[in-house]
Formats: sequence, C-alpha cells, structure tokens
Amino acid sequence: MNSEKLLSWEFLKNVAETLDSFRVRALIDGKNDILKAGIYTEDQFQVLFFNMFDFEQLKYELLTFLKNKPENTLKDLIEFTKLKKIDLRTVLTLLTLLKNEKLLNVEELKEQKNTDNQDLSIYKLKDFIITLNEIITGKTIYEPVQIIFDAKVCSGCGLCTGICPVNCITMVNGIGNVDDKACIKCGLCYLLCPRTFLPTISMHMAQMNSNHLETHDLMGPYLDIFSARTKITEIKHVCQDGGVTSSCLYYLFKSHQINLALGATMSEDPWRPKAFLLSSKEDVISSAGTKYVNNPNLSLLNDKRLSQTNFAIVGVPCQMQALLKSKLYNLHFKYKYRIGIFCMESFSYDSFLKICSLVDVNAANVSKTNINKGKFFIYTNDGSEFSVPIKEITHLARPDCEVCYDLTSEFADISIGSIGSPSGWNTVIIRTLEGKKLYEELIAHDVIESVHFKDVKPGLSMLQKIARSKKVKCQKSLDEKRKENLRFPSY
Amino acid sequence: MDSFLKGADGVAIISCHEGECDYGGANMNTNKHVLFLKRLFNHLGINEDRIQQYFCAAAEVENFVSSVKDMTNKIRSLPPLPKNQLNPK
Repeated sequence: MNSEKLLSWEFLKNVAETLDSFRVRALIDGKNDILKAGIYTEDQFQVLFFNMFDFEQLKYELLTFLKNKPENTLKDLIEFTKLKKIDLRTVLTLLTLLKNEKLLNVEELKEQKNTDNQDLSIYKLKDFIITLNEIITGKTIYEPVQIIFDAKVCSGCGLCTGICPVNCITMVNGIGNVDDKACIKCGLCYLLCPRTFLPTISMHMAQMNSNHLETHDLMGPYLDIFSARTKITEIKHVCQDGGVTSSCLYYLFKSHQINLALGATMSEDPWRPKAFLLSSKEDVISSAGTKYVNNPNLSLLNDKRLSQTNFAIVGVPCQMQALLKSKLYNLHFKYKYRIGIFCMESFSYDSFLKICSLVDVNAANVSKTNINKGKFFIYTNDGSEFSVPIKEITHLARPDCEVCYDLTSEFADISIGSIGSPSGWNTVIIRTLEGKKLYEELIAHDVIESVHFKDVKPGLSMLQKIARSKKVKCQKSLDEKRKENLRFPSY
Repeated sequence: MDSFLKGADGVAIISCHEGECDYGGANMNTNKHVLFLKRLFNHLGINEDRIQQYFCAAAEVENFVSSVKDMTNKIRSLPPLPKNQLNPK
C-alpha cells in the first residue's frame, strides 16, 4: 500500500494516544448499549465514531505540535494550519477545546476598539499567547451535562437529548435529567452543550466563512438587514408580527426544499409548547405565533425521519449556538436552513402561569401573547387586552437567560424578530449566503414584501440598544458568578 | 498499539476457540477489539492485515504453526512500518 509509506512514527503514537482518550474509549465500550438504544444504526455509529476519532486525533496532533515550544502565538497556529492543510478556524476550535480541558492556557491579546460606552467595551483580538499546563497525561473526562443542569445555566435547548447515543437525557419543563445508570459517559453532551464553553471566535469565522480574526460587536456577523412582512393571507391571521418565520417555512415546504422542520407547537396543556416536527405547510399555519415559554426543540434531532430528508430548524439563539457548535466539533446534523428568532428571555411554564394569574386570566383563555414597548401583553379569546410591565416579571424569567449574551441569533442563517421594525413588520437579519439565497427567493416568489432596514423607524439604533443591554446584563451576571465561584459558561 | 509503537510491523493474537476460554470469554472480547482495530486501520490507511487473531487450542500444533506462517507471510509482503527514530529499539 502506497499510503502506508506516508505514515510516520509520530502518527502511530498519535493514534495510540487518541485510542486512550476517554471519549473514544467510552464510545468503543458503549457500542452495544448504543446499538441497543436504537438511535444509531451500526453505520451511523461508525460515522459518528470516526468523525469524533478524527477530531480527537487532530486535537492531540495540535497538542504535540504546541508542546515542542515553551510559548506559542498566533503565528504558530497558522504554521500548524499550513502543515495540516486545514482552516484557521478549525485550529481555533481545537484550541478552545484544549483550553476548556485545562491542558493549556490561552491569553488573548486585545486592543480596545471603542471607549465611548462605559458598560460594554469591545476589543479587537490581536494575538494569543498559549502556554501549556504541566499535566503529564492529557486525558480529560467529560462529565455528563448534569453539572450544567445543577448549576442552573442550562438553556433547555434540548441538544443533549438529541445527541445522546443511549437516549438517557430527558427534559421536562426546561429542566434536564441524566439517567446515571444508562449513561455511558461518552461526553458528547458536554462537548456540544452551548452552556459549557463556546468557541465564539471560530463560530463567527464559520458564519462569515472567513479565515481571519475579526471582531463583531452587538449583533454578530451579518450581511444585510431588512424589514419585512408576509403576503400570505392565511399566515397574516395567525402570525405574531410580520409572519416572516412562518412564511419562510411555508415557502420551503411549498417548493419542496425541505420535507420536515423542527419547531414548536402547543401541547394539550394551554400555552405549554412542545417540540414538534412540522411536515407540511398546514403544520406551519397551526404552529405560527411566538411562544414565550421555552421549549427543547433540538431534542427531536434524534428522530429517525430526519436522517433521510432535508429539514430546516427554527429556534432561539441558544439553539442556534448549539447547532453551529456541533458542526464545528465535527458532528454535523444535515439541516438545510437554520432560522433564528430574536430572544431577550424566555419563561418557564410555571412562570407563565404566574404571569397569567397576575392579571387574573385563565391560561386556557389566552389567545395571544406579546412583548412590546416594555410590557407583556396578554390577549384573551373574548378580545380583551391585559398588560404587565416587563420589569415586574423579569424575576420570573428563566435564570439561565441571564448568562446569554445573544439577542439576535448570531449563529443562524437568517434571524427574524420584531425589534426595530414598525408594528406588524419583522426585522430580518441575513447572516450567511444560504440565508441570503433563501431571502431572495422569498422576494422573487412574492411571499413577503421587504424594505431596507435603514428606511424604517425606529430602526438600527433601537436594535443595537437592546442588543447591547442584553450583552451588558450577561456580562454582569457572568462577573457575579465568577465572584461567587459558581459554574458559568465560557464564551 | 503499544507493540506497533515499539517497532512491530504486525501483531498476531492467538487465542482459544470460541467457547473454550478459561477466562470467561476473553477471547471473543479480544475478537471484538481486533475487529474494531481492523476497521480503524482501514479508516487511517494502515493495512488491516497487520493485526490478526487466530483461534488455536493448546494441543493443535499444526494449526499454531500455520497461523504463525500465515502471519509472517502477510507481514513480509507489506512494507515496514515507520520506527521511532529518536529511540530505536
């Protein structure tokens, strides 16, 4: 075999080291359990395993490469990318992983970009100084995500439930639970959870498909912003604001670009959403409208139907973070579009009931809810309107929303919200080329009407103000957690 | 893997027949690992013949000899694996 001649002893050593990694071992040893659980077939398991193996191997190669020098900088990382012919963003992703495993320290050299804002300073990333920690064995065990649940920072996105190969994580009311007996300690959930650590730099790079360090402030990387509303009459009657999210799905189903979509719909309990696999444009109509109660949409990612067809995913920022993170860590779900929704905070179902009781309304009678102009509005079936100031109910929001910095779904293909647009319209942020293509098709097929964002009032300044306030809130909350030595996600 | 690192070009594992293990089925356990390693070797571009398991009872002399011969022939036909240059064995 010719290819064998290219191998080196170092390569073999690397393979041996990777085989010793706990994550790889857990998958090998747990193979029977995994196949028994029935989520992965033998073939899918092989794909999953080898994807992970390759990535682990690359990680150890990077570690060995860095070990040869006492101190490394960005220049060395670029050297490694040339050596292995890979992107810089992959290396940065690996670096974040190694840092999180406490195998090395990364010090980020930053240059302050603006000083006009006291609360939130934005830096431009210049360089890294990487020093290795003195640990003899490079083996880290990933704990199951129970620690995230216990630390109350879980966002309830449901990805862990969707990825778990033995299906041992359940999520009820936005609170997860790991079945210790069934868990095989493979660490997949920890690796992909958006609240353990996030390689934000490389995620931004992946969004822009670029290979340079860039800084994006407030709203993440984007191509363009528009204000839009639907032209489909069926959706107009049921939508929250402009109905663009529903229109996107409606159009995708109609043009047969997707056969399934992950979203949320109402369950049997009034206003308790449940994860739902939409399969037709009628489903889109029935599930339209915002639900302010959070919902683990991604827990359906293990559904067998998804592996055979094209699908889109609708979700809040934390779910978009989780999806892009899993793509970077080489465990890519084959979705076609990611449609992100703006999110300031969400409520648990119990808090929602409390809000209803504040205004003395039975949840079963509520026809629509909305957050607007600093108030939470509740509309009932008989046409009356109630409102509660947001300030009075922020303490009822899910505690994990405090540690989220992302208002505008920075890691979606296309993000949709209402902030900044006039009432009855949606703000649409185009973030990736796929998103751009989708938006252009929507306009070409006369599904939505669109105006440029700079022509609308209140416009960009409003959006920036609210995005900033969420980032400031997040930074405060992280600082507090750091002071009290609690677990917090590292962004 | 350790043997490969120390300079072996191939590894033959010779164990009892199925169901005759004195140690509660350790031979078939090993078989699983060997099959897994073969698959991994394929994935990495290493020839899968480099690891081989033979089943052979303690009294089957001929079987043992033919197994070893088979392995040596297979390995002879393959190029040597890279060795650790810094610390040659």
